[in-house]
Amino acid sequence: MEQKVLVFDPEKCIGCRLCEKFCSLGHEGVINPSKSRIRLQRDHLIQKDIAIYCHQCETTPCIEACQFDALTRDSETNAIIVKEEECVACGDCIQVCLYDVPILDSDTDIVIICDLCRGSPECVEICPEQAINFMGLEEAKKLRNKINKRISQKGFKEANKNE
Amino acid sequence: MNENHDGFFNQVLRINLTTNEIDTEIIEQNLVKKFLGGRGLGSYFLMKEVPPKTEALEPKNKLIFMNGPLSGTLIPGNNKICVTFKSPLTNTYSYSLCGGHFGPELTYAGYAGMIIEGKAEEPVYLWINNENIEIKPAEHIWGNLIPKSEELLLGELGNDKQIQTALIGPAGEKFVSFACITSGLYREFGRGGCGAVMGSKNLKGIAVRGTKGVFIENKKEMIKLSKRLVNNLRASSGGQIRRKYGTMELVERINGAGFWVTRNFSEGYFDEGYKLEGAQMRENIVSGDRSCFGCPIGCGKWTYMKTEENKELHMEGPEFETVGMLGSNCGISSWKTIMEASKICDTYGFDTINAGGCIGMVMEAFEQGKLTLKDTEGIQMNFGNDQALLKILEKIGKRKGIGNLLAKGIMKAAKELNIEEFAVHVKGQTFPVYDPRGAKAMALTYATSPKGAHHMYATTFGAELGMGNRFEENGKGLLERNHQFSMAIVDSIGICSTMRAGITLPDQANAFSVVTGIKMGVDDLNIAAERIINLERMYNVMIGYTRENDTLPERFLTTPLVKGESKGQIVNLDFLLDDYYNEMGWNSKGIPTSEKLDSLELNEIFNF
Repeated sequence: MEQKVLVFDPEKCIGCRLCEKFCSLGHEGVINPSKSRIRLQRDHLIQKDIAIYCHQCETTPCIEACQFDALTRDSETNAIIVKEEECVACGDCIQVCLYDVPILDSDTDIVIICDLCRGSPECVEICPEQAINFMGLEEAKKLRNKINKRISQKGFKEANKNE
Repeated sequence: MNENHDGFFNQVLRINLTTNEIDTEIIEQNLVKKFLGGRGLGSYFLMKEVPPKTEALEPKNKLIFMNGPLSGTLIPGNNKICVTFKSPLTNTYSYSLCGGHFGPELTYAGYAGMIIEGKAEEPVYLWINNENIEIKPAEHIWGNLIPKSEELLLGELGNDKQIQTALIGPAGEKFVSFACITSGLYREFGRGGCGAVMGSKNLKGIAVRGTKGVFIENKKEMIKLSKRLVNNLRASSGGQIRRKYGTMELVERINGAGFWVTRNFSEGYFDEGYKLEGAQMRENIVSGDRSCFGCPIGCGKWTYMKTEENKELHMEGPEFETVGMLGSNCGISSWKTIMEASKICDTYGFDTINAGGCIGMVMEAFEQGKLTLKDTEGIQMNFGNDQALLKILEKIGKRKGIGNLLAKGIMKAAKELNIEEFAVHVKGQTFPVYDPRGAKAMALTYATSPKGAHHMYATTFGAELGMGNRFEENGKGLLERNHQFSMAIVDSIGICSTMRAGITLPDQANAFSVVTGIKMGVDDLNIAAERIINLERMYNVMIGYTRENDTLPERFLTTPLVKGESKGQIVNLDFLLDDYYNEMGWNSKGIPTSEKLDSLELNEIFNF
């Protein structure tokens, strides 16, 4: 199976946070943005909502950092899987993640990381703006480059205006 | 049900700033059936706990924040939280709703609402972090503009970007009678002066962080329903046009139909209005679309402009009411001026509609020679004078000179300046942008709303434009009643009124039933709405308000509009009022009859 990853496009996101709601409901059985695997942060200065989400990095600092072998890669989806019985909530994976993805579940004391919903991410399905995409690695790289280039050239506000 | 709430959130927080006591209490399910939540439950608590003749700025007044039961669920647009209070602007019952993210965050902290009472000795702010609630000193934040206040508050709480705030600026601190409570910089509890009530309690702000979940018993049905409603909204023409142009889509329709506030309602058509249409806004200043919590429409607009002086202006908005009241109402059509003006209101924290109404009054009086340069402190207050608008707004925020006078509200200011004939208001609340001569049921909305002239009490103009009978006066009592019910329902269950573009009344009943587990049909929602409206009415009746107060300024009753598509129209208010009171089952004085109150099970509430 071709490896697919998530790519977020800040120029498309309107900050409705439906992704957070559906993600937490799917994984936790309750609607709770604080336990969502994808989380939005609004920045008034750049006028954007930026998603914190697992990029399924090629190198995996989170897995490397874990001294308890609590993190693995799913053989099919390549998602990072938390072995709940092994996690001791040491927070090492949280420290090393470049994208601030892992969070500690305050009720269970176990780390929460995106598992790609076993290959069909709920956030992608519900997003009304197609702001979060699930695509092949090569395609994903291209899209990420495109987004980064546009933003670094023009800044967020101008980039949006000329859309 | 663990620490998560059981479908319907049912816990209310009570915070007494005089005694520092903090408590929680449970809302009984019976009350939810009768008053739904949000505005409805707010009306119940205000009637029960704040005697109608209470002075608005004394510690006995309360700020009753209530979410609707749909708050924090999957139902689209479930972000509206209502604050209910006695108004310092109108001396009546008042409430105000705010979108954004504040309400849901309170839900996730575990509270359906909070009742804030008493008065702190020194400036304080509230920090609600799930069940950990602190009343913290705020002397170091007091006195700052809204953006700086928010920065200081969040900085002190560790810059957690998920914290949601509701705070006041200098306007609220100085009791500007139309001061707002502002959430997340650009969303306001806007009308009626709740910001001044908050200031009178020495309460600078409220910060909320909630990490609890909302548990819905019937999860499957909730998901199915929500996905369908999201699709409905995305497919609806109303949703699509709001997405593209935000509320500014209305300029074309309202100005085109000749009932857009122009030069203090001396006209209903603004020649330069085309510059302010939604498409113009999109082209010139919009830099992105922005949603409130859980809304797939995204009618909010990020805006950005680089001025000739190379100054960067950026904000969210301005919205339609702001553009009307600070734009066409003042004879101004420059986006730059309107953005700058809106920014002054946003940073000091006061209502753009009331500010615009006051300034429009001053401009007209000045042009008519009833005010001189001496009255205006040397400012040429002509219509179309951009700098005059900006100067006066600053003066209101700082309560300096004529600004200090206007900060008392249009009714008191007009009296002191002796220019009452130019004051366009009902019960002290200035008109929003719709001239009722061009959509007759709006006359009833303004005249009979318990919080004074307020368009969102019943937005009939859309239906009147759609049906093509906007000048007709027959049958408008029933239309008004139905629209008042519709608003009371969405305001109480906790969804944004714009959601009606894709969430019908039966689906609202559906959503309410799925979320709360309390089976409610359309009729049940309508009965609750009628109960809420009667209760609101009775609060004012107990202060002494009656038909004589359900009035409109003289010009709408006697002076026909002179140009545009509503030319020649006036309002026959007495005819409209008789019809409406009759539809409501009230007597000819506009007072609910004892039988009506009995049938709505309201009489028991008045025994306090």
